[in-house]
Formats: sequence, structure tokens, C-alpha cells
Amino acid sequence: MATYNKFQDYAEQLNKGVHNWSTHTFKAALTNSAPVATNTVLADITQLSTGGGYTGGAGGGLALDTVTLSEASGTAKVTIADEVFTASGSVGPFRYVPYYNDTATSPADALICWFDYGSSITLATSEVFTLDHDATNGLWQLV
Amino acid sequence: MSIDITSRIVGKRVAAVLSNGHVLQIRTECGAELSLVWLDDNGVPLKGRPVIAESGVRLQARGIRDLIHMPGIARGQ
Repeated sequence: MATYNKFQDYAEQLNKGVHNWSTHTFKAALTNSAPVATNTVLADITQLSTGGGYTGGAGGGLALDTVTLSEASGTAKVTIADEVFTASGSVGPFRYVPYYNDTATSPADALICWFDYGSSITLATSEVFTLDHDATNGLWQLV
Repeated sequence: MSIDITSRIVGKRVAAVLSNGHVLQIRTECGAELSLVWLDDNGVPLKGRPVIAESGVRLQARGIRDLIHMPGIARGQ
């Protein structure tokens, strides 16, 4: 299973109101360069170049289409629908999938977390990459 | 789509093989997935040779629970 890692700055930016999980647009980028926990914005990440259906650069990545923030008994939870990307050409190699807030402007494209698949992946034409999110426990909970 | 099946799963540990009678899906513990169907010479399903209908990678994106630490409050309060 892929491992979850949190960018340290996320804890600060969350409390500064930079992230609104109910209204903002969040995206998942693809990279083969290991992020570090002290990275703060998407510009710190060496994304894949645009190609094969993937869009790199500022505002790039896979849009997370259905993001839901809920709260029950004092626990806030963010759930995200599975994201399915079908390559239209060769994509990769990539190993890391950092998530960021595409709406945030200060700092711009603030980073949240990243997943490490454990080995590099290269997608061929028509191959499918699925971000399988946990529908029950969500991506993230604040207790 | 023509992809060599063996090269996609060789050396990997199979986690599950699923079938609904039309599609055969092989999942490995590292997340690789193969969905197989059979076509006859006319492209009609269920007869003929197996081909890969879809292949890809599933990243199990499991998150965490973060706690708000309040060091000034003792346990039980």
C-alpha cells in the first residue's frame, strides 16, 4: 500500500484559513522526484511534463472531482471520490503523488500531503491509474 | 490493445483474481491490476483468445488521523 506523508506547512496553512475543503479545488500531481516534508508549494515539486493526457506545470495534475468535508462528534473528515486517469500516451515514470490546493493564492498552490507508491510507474497508452481513496475513513481526519 | 500479460505480473504476488463471467481481473499486492476478457475472431466476447481489456495501477490512498495537541489540558478533562 502506498504510504502517506504530510507536508509540514499544511498544519500551519490549515490554521491560517488557507485551505477550505468545502469550496476549494484540490489536485493530485505526479512526480518521480521525492518530495520532502519541508516543501510548501507546488512550485517546489518537479512534476512530470505535459504529455499523454497529463498536464504539468502550475495548476497541473489530476483534479480531485468530489471532495467532501463532514463533521461528526467533533471529528472533521475529508473524503474524496476515487480519481481515475486514463493515459492517452506514455506517462511517467512517476512514483510520488503530491496533493495540493489549486485555489490557494497565498501561498500559491499550497501543498497538503503526498503518497509514495514505493516504485516508479510508467503508464502506456490507454492504461488506467486509479487513486483509490478510502470512502469510510477519508483522506484526512482532524480529531 | 496488445500487452504481454506475463511481463505485467511476473515476479509480483497475486492478491486476488476476480471474475464476473465476462471479465477476469488479476490484482497483485503491489497494486497492479489486469482485467481480461475473451474475444473470438469476430470480436465477439466470450469465445476465442483472452486479451487485456484494461491494465493500470491502483494507488491505495489511505490517509491519517491528526490530533490537536492541547498540552495545557490534563488527561481526563
